[in-house]
Amino acid sequence: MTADTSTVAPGKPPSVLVVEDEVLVRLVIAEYLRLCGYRVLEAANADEAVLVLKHPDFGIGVVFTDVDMPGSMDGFGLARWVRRHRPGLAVVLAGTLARAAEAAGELCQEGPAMAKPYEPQAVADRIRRLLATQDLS
Amino acid sequence: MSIEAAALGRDPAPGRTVLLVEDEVLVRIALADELRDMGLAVLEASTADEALRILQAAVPIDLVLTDVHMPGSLDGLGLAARLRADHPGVKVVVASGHLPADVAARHDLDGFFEKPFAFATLARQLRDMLG
Repeated sequence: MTADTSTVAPGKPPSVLVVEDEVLVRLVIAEYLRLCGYRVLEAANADEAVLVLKHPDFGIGVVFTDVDMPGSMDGFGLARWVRRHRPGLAVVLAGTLARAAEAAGELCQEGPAMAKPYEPQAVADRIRRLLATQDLS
Repeated sequence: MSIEAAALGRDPAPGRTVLLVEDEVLVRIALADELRDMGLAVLEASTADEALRILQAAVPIDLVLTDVHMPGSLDGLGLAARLRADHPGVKVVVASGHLPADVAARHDLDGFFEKPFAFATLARQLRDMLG
């Protein structure tokens, strides 16, 4: 479920908006993308994402979104909103944890690689371990 | 940087990780940017529940900077109380536009800022607290 990210304008690297309601997943994906050189903004749901996307100054080129989220829109709804109101933006829909880690890895392979990014599997493993500590509490 | 480094078992940015808790996304982003520009590692939570989830997962945090009025099961003062009980090593700074100073004084906080505040003032206090 990935969109073609080659629509991003050349020159300045785009900012990535990560939209994810599970905070432990969101923060690992966001930090992973920051490590490989992206400027990353975070939204906890589609409503927050729309507020960010309506703001003129953030230079967002890619929206990286979970599918299942609480609130007025899920990831599909957000993708439709983006296609209607921000047609130049690439949207990456990542409906599973494995897909999110893999898609983040793809963005780092394509993107501004200031430092070697860690393997997507390590990202997925770390998210799984963080979530597992939560399940035990 | 610190969460990924910590996650992969390397030394995180020692003593300089702030967990920012703020439900208004544009305020949160602006404040997180300014804190990162200071050289701090910043993790973002949109509610007290998210903040507790991060802390309960043993993510290394040195200081929590929180708004007071937020949706969810806890407000910022409730979060501060939980931090004192469950994570006593973490410093707690509360920023609010609605909280009278005398109420703030009755809670065991490391710092309190009344909004609107000058970021330079907050920055100075955070530097003093985090070293």
